[in-house]
Amino acid sequence: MLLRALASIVNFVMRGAVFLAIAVLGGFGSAWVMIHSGSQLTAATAGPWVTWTAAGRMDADPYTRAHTVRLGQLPLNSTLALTYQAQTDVAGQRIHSSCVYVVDVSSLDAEWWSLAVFDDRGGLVRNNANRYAFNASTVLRDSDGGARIVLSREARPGNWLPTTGAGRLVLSLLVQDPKWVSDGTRNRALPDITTVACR
Amino acid sequence: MLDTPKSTRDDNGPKATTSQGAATTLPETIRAKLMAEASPAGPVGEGLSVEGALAPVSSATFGDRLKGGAASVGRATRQSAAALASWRPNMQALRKIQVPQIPVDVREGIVKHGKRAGLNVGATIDSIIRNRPNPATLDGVPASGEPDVATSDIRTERLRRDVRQPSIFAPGHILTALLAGGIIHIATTFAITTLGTGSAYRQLRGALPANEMVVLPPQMPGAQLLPFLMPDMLYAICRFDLTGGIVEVNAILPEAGWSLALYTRQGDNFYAAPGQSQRPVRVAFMLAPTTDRLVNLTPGARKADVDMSQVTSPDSQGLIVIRAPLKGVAFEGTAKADLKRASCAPSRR
Repeated sequence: MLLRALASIVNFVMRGAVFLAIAVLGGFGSAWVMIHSGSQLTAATAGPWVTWTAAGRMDADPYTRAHTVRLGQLPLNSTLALTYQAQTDVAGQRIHSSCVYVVDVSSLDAEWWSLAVFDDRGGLVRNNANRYAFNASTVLRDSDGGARIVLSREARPGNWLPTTGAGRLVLSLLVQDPKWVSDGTRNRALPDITTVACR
Repeated sequence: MLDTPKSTRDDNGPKATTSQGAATTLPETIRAKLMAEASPAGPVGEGLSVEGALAPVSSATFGDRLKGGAASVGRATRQSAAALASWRPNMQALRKIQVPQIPVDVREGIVKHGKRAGLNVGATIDSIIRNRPNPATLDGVPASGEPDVATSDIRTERLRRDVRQPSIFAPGHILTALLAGGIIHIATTFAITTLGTGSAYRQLRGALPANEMVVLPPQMPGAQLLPFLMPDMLYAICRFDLTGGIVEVNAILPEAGWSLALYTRQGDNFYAAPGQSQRPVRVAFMLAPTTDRLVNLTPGARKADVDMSQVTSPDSQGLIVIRAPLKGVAFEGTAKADLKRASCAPSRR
């Protein structure tokens, strides 16, 4: 009888553990992934760049709305502007302040765009130059019209964005141009993010 | 037992004389047949013999012999019944059999002892097999007192079955868990949106007065309004509250990159006006709640200026955000001045 009671308790505990693992962890985990990272249903990718296609819209899906609320964002309607974020370079490696990156924005021909670097919690990277972003007006272009932004700890000539010891970085690109946005990410080239060197 | 037609044919021979008190004599042919048939079967009971039973005797002697024979039959019956009662069948073999299969040793035992007791053996065997003990209900201690291995196995198997059933990986259990996980998934997604504890409106509500446009300083590390807010822009934000009536909004968007956007408390952008590259865009409208548009209840709604466009807000509270891109440090003053001309105030019309 004692053995049978013990076996019943163990069975009950195991059943509860499996139930909790599937229901609670599965439910919360899948919701977290869908809200934090998005999926093909809610986000569009172009190389390392990811954008929530329905961000800011009144008819946005629940995951997009939850994503907006959770991050405390105020996105412009995606029919007017698109915000892209990149956490990796073109090779898929996580962007980190210990490396030097070149972001080629030569192909960005939108009416207005802005490229900023944040830490992985959305905070600005503190630096002595008080430089946090470049946009269509502030970026310096070459004689041939090309433009490249360098992310590094040490100062670099040209378009330099300091990344002083911030650890993991997130690049955010705001493109505000109704014509450009209406074409979507399929017909528009987004900047390449290339790793030059790492410490 | 007797062949009646033959007996009829033997009627032609000398007939037995029957008279009271005289000895009874059977015809020789009948005596011979009885002897021949009785011999292979052996004695039916102790002290009985066909020869003795059929010998010509007087009535008194026959009665004594009959009493003695009956006593012998009764004694043999009692002995056989006792032997049958004390007989221990092979229960292990019984458990393994499937009706109507009967092990040879069991059948022989039953037949042997049943025959000695004069029982109807065939029907008895069937009855015994049908009513044999259920192995699952045995107590595991046979009559001999020794452990019954087969019964122990049965009990162990029952215990295993109890432990195993219902399995933690039973399909019903997994499906229920998946269903619960789906409910949690959906509830979590909608709860984040509905409760909105981390929404921009919740974060800014305490710092912004209602229905007043506030020009915010440039975004700096450690002093950001919101995460991932573009730092090369200046922001003017108005927290509108339509519970007191309509709100008038005026702004000028001097060039491309500027924008004015209206948000609900959940961050839904229900209205947006972009700046143009060729000319400044003047934005002026009255912001009214949905109820005013439909029912026209508030005084502000009845006095609405027909020359001003009206924007209906799906939420009674929210944010108006004007974004002014910074083309450089030199343009910051100009951008601030343009932002300060923007207004957001309750309608006085």
